[in-house]
Amino acid sequence: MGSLAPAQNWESVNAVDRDLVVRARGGDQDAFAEIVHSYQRRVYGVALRMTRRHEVADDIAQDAFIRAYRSLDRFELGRPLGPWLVKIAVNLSINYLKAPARREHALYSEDMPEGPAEAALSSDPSREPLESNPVRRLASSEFARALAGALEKLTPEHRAVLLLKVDEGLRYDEIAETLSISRGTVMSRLFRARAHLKSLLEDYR
Amino acid sequence: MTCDKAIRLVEKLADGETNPGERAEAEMHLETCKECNSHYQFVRALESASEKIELPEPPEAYWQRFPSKVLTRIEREGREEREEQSGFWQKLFTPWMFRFGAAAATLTLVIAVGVSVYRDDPRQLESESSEMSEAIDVAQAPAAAPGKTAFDEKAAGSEDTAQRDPEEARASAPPAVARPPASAPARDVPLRSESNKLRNARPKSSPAPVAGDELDESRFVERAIGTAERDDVSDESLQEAPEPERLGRGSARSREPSPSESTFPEELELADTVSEDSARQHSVAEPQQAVRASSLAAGEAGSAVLASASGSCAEWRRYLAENDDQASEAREAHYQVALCSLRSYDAEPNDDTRDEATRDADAFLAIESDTERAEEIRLRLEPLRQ
Repeated sequence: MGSLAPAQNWESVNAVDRDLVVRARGGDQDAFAEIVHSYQRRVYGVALRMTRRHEVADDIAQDAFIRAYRSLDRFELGRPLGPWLVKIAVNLSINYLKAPARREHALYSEDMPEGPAEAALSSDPSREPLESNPVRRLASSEFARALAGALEKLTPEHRAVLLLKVDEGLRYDEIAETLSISRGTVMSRLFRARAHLKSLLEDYR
Repeated sequence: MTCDKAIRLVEKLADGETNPGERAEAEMHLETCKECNSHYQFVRALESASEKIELPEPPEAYWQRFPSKVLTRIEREGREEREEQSGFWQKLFTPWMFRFGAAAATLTLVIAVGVSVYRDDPRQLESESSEMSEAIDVAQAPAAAPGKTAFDEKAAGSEDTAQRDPEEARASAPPAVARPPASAPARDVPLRSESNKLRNARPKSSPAPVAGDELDESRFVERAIGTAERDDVSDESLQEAPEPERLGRGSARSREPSPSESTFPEELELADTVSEDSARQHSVAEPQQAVRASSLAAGEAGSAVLASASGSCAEWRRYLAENDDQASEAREAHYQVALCSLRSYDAEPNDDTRDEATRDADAFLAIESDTERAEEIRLRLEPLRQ
């Protein structure tokens, strides 16, 4: 999953990004295309981990870049561009997941191979028995598949803080800024999300 | 440290968010608390397990197309927004402004056509409306309907007026240009105009000198106008007319006025030589119209004076006989009779005409002595007494 989440340091300022943003503000679409090309995997990866659906993640990733393009004038040039794009994608994903009438798409499109998430949570009777050693159980691929299924049962907010912490490697303050919540709320949500996952993955403990 | 407090510290430790003091405290608790240690292991396992979750990587072609898809959407959505903005103004104005404008213009045109048709020929339209069929132009029908009420009334009024007094309706038409007779004086035309003016201003209640054939005043004026317009009456026909017995003036009398002679006696004579009706008609052009107009201006009894705008001496005598008991009409008749007699004497001075003129003038002066026209009669009578 690392290829989809090339986490960057929140404080790193990319001079190249700054130049591209300035050019894109002036109407240089090639500069903005280069920005898209640089961050498309990360933005798409956030959306996919949040929604677990390729088609939805594709739409959300495109929407995130379009919103970024329209908001370039409001972007602070001294800040890193990646977290700003991730923030947009996460919030779009939360909005999508919280929409009551959201469509129930297939997890993967026809041209995409079947992923592990559904298989992890499916009650396949033919699956291998759990590892008897707890340490090994938690380190098994079986646990990873179960975790993928359990993550879908979290609320969007809990899923977001966990994603930003675990996958994006953001600090509490950065998560708080991304989601526009307090640092204490970030800690509280992380604790509750993990507690929920623990209950969901009780068999692997 | 209780587990409730330690569990938060343990999570901070797992997330790398503890300061050195918290880290030492948390590690000390983990060594002694199995439950918190298990939670710490679970949190760490989540991170490692999350890294193991492999989400399918889209093909490379997807990433190659993705930037162009984003740019295409940006361009398309920008164009759609511009179209929506322009479409907003089009939706705002097109249906209301242009459609309403077209409807208003069409309605105005239809109403204008209807009004024009009614004004041009209201009676015809009224007839048409009464016989209106489905074949009538649909475009005119709705426009004519609302205008019909007002114009029907007008048309009906015009029709009634024409029925009551055809001459009034005729007077409203452009005045016919009457050619003066070759022998008539040039002032005949303005006198005729004066007659029209007097006729138009004449009240319906005004009496008029009528003959015994129950000529009403409108017919009287009509004949006067008709005679004035019938200027092509041949001299032969005039000469064949019977000679008036009272005036005794022969038909051989020339119609051409002498330079020193007033044209009035000749016209009066002409009227008398033709017939009594013809005399009435030709008398319209008499110069006494000017006197009558001046009398009007002097405040004479308007209706009677206007009504007697024309007439021969005989007519005035008849009218006098019929209206002798009515003061204003009697004075007007006496004035006209005296004037006619004086003019007759001027035209043919002899004892008979002088006596008649003197008698008639005295009769008028007996009932009216302090007016301008009385002074006129008095001045004209004075030479006859000498």
